[in-house]
Amino acid sequence: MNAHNMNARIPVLFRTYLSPKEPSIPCTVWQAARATSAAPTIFKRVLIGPAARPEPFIDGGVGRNNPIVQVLEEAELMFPDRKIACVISIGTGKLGTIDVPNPGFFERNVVPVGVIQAMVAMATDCEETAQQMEKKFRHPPKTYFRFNVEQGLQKVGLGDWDRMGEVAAHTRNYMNTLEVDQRLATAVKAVREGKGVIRTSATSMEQELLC
Amino acid sequence: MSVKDAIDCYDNLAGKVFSTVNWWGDGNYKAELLEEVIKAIVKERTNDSSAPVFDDGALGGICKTCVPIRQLKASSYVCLDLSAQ
Repeated sequence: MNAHNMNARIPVLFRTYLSPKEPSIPCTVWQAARATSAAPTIFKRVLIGPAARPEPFIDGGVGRNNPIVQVLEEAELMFPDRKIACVISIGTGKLGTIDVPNPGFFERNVVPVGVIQAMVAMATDCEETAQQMEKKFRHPPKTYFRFNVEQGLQKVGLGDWDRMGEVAAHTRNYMNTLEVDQRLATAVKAVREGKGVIRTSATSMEQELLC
Repeated sequence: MSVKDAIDCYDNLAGKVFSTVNWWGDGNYKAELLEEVIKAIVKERTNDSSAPVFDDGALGGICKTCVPIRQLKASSYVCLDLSAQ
C-alpha cells in the first residue's frame, strides 16, 4: 500500500440493510470479511465491484479503530425518532505502551516505520475515543458500557492463533473481577428492559460540540 | 450462528490462516487463505459461498448489522432511491 492511497481513504459501511442516505455498495459476506481484515501489514487490500472496474477497500480501523462514533451516527440516521436504551462497546484488549515491539531486522526492511507508528496511534486513538464516550454518556448513567480486557493480552499478537487458551483465561479473569461483574449485570438489565433513555440525535459528535 | 459456533469457527479460521506466513507481497498473511475459509463458512450456513451482505429477509430488518470499511478512492456507486419503495 503506498502513502498516496493511505491518505485517500473514505469511510464507508457495508450494511445488511438499506440506508436512506448513503450509497449502497453491493458486496458479498466474504468480501466484507476480507475488507475488514485488510489492515496494513496483516492482509492485502481487497478489490470489490464489477469485474470491469473493481475498487480497493481496506479495514475501517485504519485511522479510526473504535467505530463507536460511526455507530452512533448510523443509529441517528436509521432511527431519528427513537431512543437508545444502552450502548455496549467491546474492545480487543488493551495494548501497553511498553509492549509495542521494536521492528526486527526483517520488519525494518519490509514494514515501513510509518505503518508501525500508525498501528500504535490506532490503539491509542481507540482508548481515547472510549474515554470520550465514557464522558459523553455520564448522564444519564447506566447507558454506556465499555468492556476491554485490561491485562494479559498485551503480548498476544494477531498471528498467535495457538494461544487462544491464554486469551480465554485472561478474559475470564477480567469478567470475574467485582467491578466488571457488576457492570455486566447492569448492562444485561439495561438490554433486557430495553427502555429508551437518550435520543439518537443527542449522541452524535456534532451535538456534543454545540453544547 | 451461536456464540459457541462463532468461537469454534474463529479457532478453526485462525489456525488455518495465521499458521502460514506470507513471505512475498502485501501483508504478513495470505489473504487467499482467509477468503477460502470465510467462503466455506458462508457456504455451510447459507448454501452460497457468495451470499451478499445485504439481507432482504426477515433477519436483515430485525438485526441490522454494518461493517466499517475504508475505500481507497472516491466512490462511483450511487445511492439507491428509497422513496420508490
